[in-house]
Amino acid sequence: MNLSRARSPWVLHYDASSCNGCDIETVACMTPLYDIERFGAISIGCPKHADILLVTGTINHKSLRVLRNIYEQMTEPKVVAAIGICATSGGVFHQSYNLLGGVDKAIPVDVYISGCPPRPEAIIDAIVMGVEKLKKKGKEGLAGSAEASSG
Amino acid sequence: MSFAFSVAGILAAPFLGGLLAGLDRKITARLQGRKGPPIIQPFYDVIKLFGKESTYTNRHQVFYIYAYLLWMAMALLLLLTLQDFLVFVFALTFAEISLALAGFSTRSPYSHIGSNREILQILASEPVLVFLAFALYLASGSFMAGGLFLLGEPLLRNFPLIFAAVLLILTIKMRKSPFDLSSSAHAHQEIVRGVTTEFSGRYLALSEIAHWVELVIILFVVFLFWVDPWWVGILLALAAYLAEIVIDNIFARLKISWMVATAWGWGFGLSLLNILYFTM
Amino acid sequence: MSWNGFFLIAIVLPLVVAGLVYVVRSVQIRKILIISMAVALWAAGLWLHFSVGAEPQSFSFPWMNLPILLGDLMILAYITYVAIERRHPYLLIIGALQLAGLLYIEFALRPDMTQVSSLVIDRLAVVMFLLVSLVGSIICIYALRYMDEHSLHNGLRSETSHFQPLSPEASAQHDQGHTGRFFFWFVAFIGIMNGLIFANNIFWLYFFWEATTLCSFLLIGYEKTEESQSNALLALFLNSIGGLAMVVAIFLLVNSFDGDILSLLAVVDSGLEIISTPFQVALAFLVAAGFTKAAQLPFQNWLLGAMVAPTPVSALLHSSTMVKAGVYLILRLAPAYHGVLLSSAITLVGGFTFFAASLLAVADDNAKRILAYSTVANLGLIVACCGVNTPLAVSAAVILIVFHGVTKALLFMGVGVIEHAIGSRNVENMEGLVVRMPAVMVVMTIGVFGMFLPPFGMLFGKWAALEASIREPLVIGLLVAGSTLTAMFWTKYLGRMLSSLPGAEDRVIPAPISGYYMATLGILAVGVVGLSLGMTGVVQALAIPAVENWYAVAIQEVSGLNLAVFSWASYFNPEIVLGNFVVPEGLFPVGLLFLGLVLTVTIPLFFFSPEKERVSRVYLAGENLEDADSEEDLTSDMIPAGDAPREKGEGKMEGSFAGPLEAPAEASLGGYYFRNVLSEKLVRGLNGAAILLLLWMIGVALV
Repeated sequence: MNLSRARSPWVLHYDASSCNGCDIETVACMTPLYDIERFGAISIGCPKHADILLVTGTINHKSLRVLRNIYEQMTEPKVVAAIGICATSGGVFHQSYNLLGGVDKAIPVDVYISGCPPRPEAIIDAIVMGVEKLKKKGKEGLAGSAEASSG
Repeated sequence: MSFAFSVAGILAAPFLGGLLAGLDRKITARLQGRKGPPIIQPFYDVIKLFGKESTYTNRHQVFYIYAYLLWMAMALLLLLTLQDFLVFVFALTFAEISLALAGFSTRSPYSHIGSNREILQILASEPVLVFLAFALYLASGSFMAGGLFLLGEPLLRNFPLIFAAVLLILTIKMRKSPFDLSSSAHAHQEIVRGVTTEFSGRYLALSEIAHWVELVIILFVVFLFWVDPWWVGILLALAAYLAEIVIDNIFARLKISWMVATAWGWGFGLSLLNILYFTM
Repeated sequence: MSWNGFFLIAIVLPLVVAGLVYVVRSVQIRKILIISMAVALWAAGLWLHFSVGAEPQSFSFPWMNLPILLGDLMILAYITYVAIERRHPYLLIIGALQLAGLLYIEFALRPDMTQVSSLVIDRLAVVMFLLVSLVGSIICIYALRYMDEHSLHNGLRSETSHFQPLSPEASAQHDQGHTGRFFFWFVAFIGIMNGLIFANNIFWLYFFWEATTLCSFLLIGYEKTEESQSNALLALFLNSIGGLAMVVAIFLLVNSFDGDILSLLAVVDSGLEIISTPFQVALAFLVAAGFTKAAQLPFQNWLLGAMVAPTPVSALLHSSTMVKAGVYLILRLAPAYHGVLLSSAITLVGGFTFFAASLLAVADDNAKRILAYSTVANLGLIVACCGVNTPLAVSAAVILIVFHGVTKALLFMGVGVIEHAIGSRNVENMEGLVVRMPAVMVVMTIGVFGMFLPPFGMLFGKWAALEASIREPLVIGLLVAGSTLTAMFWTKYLGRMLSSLPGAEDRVIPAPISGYYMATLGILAVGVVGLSLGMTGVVQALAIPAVENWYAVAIQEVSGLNLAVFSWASYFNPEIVLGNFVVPEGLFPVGLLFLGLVLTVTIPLFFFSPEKERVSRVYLAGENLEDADSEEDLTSDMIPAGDAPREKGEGKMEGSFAGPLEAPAEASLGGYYFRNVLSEKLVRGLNGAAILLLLWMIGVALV
């Protein structure tokens, strides 16, 4: 089960309010050159199917609700990766009046990748780190549920 | 074929279907100049999905997803035991309609679009299968698929046009481009996720397995065109499958009306022509 | 019980009850009367089933010939009167022609009817009687409750339009007068229909035939609205064309054969079809009369228009019984046109109707009209089976008549309940019924599945029809197309009703449903499932005895050109234990398919426990605007309260999303109707083609 979890991280990409730099690099991961499908990762359009949520860009008032909603619809175990410096902390915009800051202001984040934009290798690295977290969460989740049923 | 063989066939079908699906992903990757996932990738996916939390949107949806898998297995059983081909087509239709109803049983616009398209896919592909049943009867004097093994000559010889029509609907049944309208494997051309948008966890896994079984079923139908010697039929089915993968990669998704028009124009027309030609 | 006693119960009792119901205004007494009539009819049906053997039995009532003739003339006079009063010149012409034709036949040709048996009971009539009396009386009981509610609805309507609310007593008085009239025609219809089933003398047949037309006219026009009046007139007009066709057929039979052929039995036994052109033409006209009553294209419009009538009328007359009279006549005549080209022509008309009606059903969003189109389509399939005219095909026709009657009555009654509950007949408004009326939804699901999915009886009939139709390659395409389209519109229909918001099951309190409804719907739903499960029994006890006298042997092609001869005993070979149904053409595994259905229902119950899983909201690109309780606890501590905009949960519209400018917009869904392709023009084209086919059919008989 955990092996399968590690080998099949389905990725959902959400653009909170990015300048599209990070988005381009994220999509580049799927091109023949980087081909993340080697690791079983595919880009999926539906949060209900996804394991890893890649968020690019800072959170503003409009994307907050959407991001939370999508996060809520994802099924456990799930991992969130903030891609790029904007998603990590707000980056150069972090004092802007209409922004809330990084992704972790809205939802729990597991992996942070800085860069403006990060290189595809770094994004793949984020996915791999996300996979590790996924495995851990999966184990914990199983243990947790076992506890709950025994208790 | 014996009962034990059929049971073994039903148990083996998901594995075979999964492997075929993995092969498809590998070949597709290679065609696109990528390394691609391992052949057993679909199994990783499905096992993972079983391990994920399952949410549901509506109790009836769960019911219909199970019905999709069960009736797909029923269709396979009917086919492997070489039962009445028309009954097989009805069971297959039940399975597909269950999928459409599973999509309908939630108030989600995306899965509704997928379901509506799924119905249209059934509409487009079912007639050809029924015509194939008639061809079976004309060739062997019975609707029982078993009659083909006593025939002495391949079905393909007298019904090449129906074979062409079956190849046409093969694309629809496998949900491959240009007719992958209800639920596409290619994220870039799907409206969210089509009919499976609201499935998650275990239910998505079940629908995935059902889809593998469907793949085996449809390739078995191709196999029926040349059952004696059996290896020719298997080669025929594999060749058809490879051709589908290539077609999948060189086509974009086309419009739904185009699909219905093509399937009803060419599929229906060729089949009817073949039957009329044979009976006259 | 003697035979005369049986006829008294079957034909006279409903007429007497109808009269009593009209005279006695008390609702309680009406209920007692109708329920006891239903019980008497059921008992009579059972008695009949066990006392009729394979041989037809004839009964003569010569003293009734004159009253029947007078009745005929009265009906025709009434039709002529209606035509004059409503200024319908074509109806006037047709009514007058019928009147003239009948008078000419009676007084110029003077057929000698003393030797002709008036009524005949054979196994086919038993099947029809069981259908009409069992299903018909269930619908009567359903109507008791339905009409109560209906008059309430009407009362409300008149209040809003006149701004002068009637007092409750006055409105009850007023409506009882109406419903009394309604029940008079409704119950009388059952007696008339039973007469039609047993009629053998063609003049008797003609009388009952016209009487059902009249009943239908009065019941469709019951509402007295402009629309119902004009639709009733249309029904009268189109059915009168059938009456005229029947008069022409009677004229040909009387004129050409010196009064030898004056009964249906004589028509079937004459063996004249090959040698005599007038006989063939007469047959073609009789069949054309059947087409009008069975609403085959191009006569389908009256049945669609008839959907304005109260739902019990649609259920009784326009699905399970009256329209079945049309196919019943065609089926009775099947041995008479066996082996001639006319038979193929009939197949083609039926097949075309099956296809065209299914196609038109796809484009409709009125629940009752969809059911009506489906009725037309299935009657077309039955007609096509009659035309194919092989043992398998005619058995399929009988099976389809039985299962369609039961299933369609169930569906109509279900729609009637829904219509009263939600105040609409539009399928689009039935969204989410699965949570609003779960009990009715179970019934509707059984009904819809019963119409087109394995292992139910209708599909079995369709299977048999398809397997039999291999003899008519021309019609195969039409049947295949029609059967696929059938699957399509039913799935759409059911899909609309299933669509509901996530978790709505736990929030919505289902609407209560009356005991009358639950009882009648329950009996029929159990009937649909039970009859399908006992398919081999139905076929052996009802379908095969009904038609097995018609063909001495069944000839079946085996492997290309080799012919094999089967006796009836070996042709149908049901394996009762496994429930398999074996014919030379193939095998229908009833038992296996039912096992599949049982597993489908039970397996999810085993593996699925709703309380352990999370209900997830639908995906709306993350823009859902729903009640915020689950959203709030997620991460509310991370953002200071003042920062987050408060639009969530403001509108509290379920299933809505944030549209442009953050305005809440509701996600609205709709089915595909393909109105750009399936347009009025297409309907005209289909009707035109159907008229040509019909003319060709009569032409085939002439040559």
